[in-house]
Amino acid sequence: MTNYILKTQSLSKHFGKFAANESISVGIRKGAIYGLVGRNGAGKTTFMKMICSLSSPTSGSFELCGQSYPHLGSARAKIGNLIEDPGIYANMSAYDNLKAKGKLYGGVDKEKINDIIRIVGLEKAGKKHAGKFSLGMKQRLGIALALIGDPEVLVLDEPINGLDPAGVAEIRETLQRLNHERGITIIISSHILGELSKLCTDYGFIDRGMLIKEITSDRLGADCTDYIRLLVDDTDKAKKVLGSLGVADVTDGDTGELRIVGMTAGTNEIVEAMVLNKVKVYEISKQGTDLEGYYLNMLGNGRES
Amino acid sequence: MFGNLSLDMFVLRKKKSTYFTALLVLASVLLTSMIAKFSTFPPENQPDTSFTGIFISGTVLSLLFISIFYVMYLGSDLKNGFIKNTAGTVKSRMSYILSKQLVLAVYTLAGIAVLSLGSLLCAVIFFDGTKGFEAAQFIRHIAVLYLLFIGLSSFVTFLVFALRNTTAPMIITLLLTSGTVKSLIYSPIETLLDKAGIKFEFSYISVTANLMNLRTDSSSREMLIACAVGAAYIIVFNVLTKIVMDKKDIA
Repeated sequence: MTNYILKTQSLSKHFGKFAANESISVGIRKGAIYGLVGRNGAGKTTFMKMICSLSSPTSGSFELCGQSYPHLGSARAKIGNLIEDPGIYANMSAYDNLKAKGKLYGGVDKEKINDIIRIVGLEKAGKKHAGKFSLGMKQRLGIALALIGDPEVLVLDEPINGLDPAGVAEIRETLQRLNHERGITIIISSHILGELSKLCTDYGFIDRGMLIKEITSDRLGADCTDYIRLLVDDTDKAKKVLGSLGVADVTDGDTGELRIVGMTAGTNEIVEAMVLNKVKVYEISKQGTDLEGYYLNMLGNGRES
Repeated sequence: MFGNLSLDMFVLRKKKSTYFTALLVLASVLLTSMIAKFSTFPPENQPDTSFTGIFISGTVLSLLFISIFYVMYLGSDLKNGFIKNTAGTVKSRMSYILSKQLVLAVYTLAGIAVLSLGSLLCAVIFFDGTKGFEAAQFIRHIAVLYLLFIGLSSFVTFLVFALRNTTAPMIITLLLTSGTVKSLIYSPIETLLDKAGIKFEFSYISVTANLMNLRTDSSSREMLIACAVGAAYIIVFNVLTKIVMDKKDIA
């Protein structure tokens, strides 16, 4: 049985007649790095605010760490978040910012604060006021603040926005470390899909407030793998022909479409065999995509329907 | 609740405006005392240079600085986004608000102490010291004043969290504490009501007017009205703030 740390059921948030989130049902596995993918205004932040109890759902429910909304009880303290702003006091050092938030939970000593500072790589910040930090340092401090209560779930809304490539890589490494070493489940949104694809184990695609697809990175990897797209008049007959050629990994696509995975060469042989066996070939092409292409394709399909 | 309180106390101690406002309160007493000492006034407008007189003059000026501090302190979490770090963690959002109010209550008490100490020093240095001072009357004055200040902080808290910004609450508070609202809105309405044969004074129901008008030798009735206004503000605006915090999302 899958161990879900967060499960939402038909979660909706309406602002007047506008549906920012409409009936979103997701299941996020414990220990996963879940990427929320969607364009600006798709409803990612609204969804995150609801699960962080900053915003109340119009309808639907969710279960966090085994406790149901609105009676989240101790589960509230098991979630750390960085939503929109890092939420830092500019006139305080990183240490004091963490000390301040640590007071909320109690039992946060100097050692723990320094440990978190080390995890996010802010050791060199010293007594420098957070207001003078670079954007990357502020984001890292935001993550550190989210970590102070020993959360089981970390909710990060666009944590790598505006960072330079080195900063992005640092944040990615930090998050991977937190996930691997501490088993923290991470829910992250970003527009930089290339980065998400290096990090996430699961994805949820949101568009116009609705969850249009949930997929694991393994499945996404398979879907994005290069393949040969074959458009024929008779897919059953074509499959037999492909079988005789020793091609086993064939999946059905849209009507009349076959996808031959893991084989991007030998198109001439395939066409020749099809012609010999009287299978009409309408189209044969090499295909392949990345997360961005996958997302854009999916949005395109969604719009057409 | 204790965690919130501990966090807010820590933030209060770390803020520069905490100390700057206290200095401004002290400067207010000094300034009003210097004006009373070195300016020439017509015989009918001679300032009250007793200890309590200095205290009252200082209070009127300090009111402005303390209310600015209220807005700045309450609004800082909204401005920097820290509220999003904490509001979801607490079981009741009202505990988040109440801890801030408690901290402001502590700070106000410290402010009144600074005001009293400054008035005492100025009275000793510039005037006749504590001549004619009646401790019991002064303690009664301070107690009512404190209640009114808490009422004001409840009102400001409501403004900041209902409007979710600091600019509008700052303008409203400045207009109220500088007497501008009294001159531009209350007085004309009172005049119109008077012409219609209705006797009504806004100063009875305004917390800032009560703060500005309160005297050490105010009658028991005036003190009672001030107490009622202070208590009503505390109750009404905390209830309203609770409604706002429960209903409104942390955006």
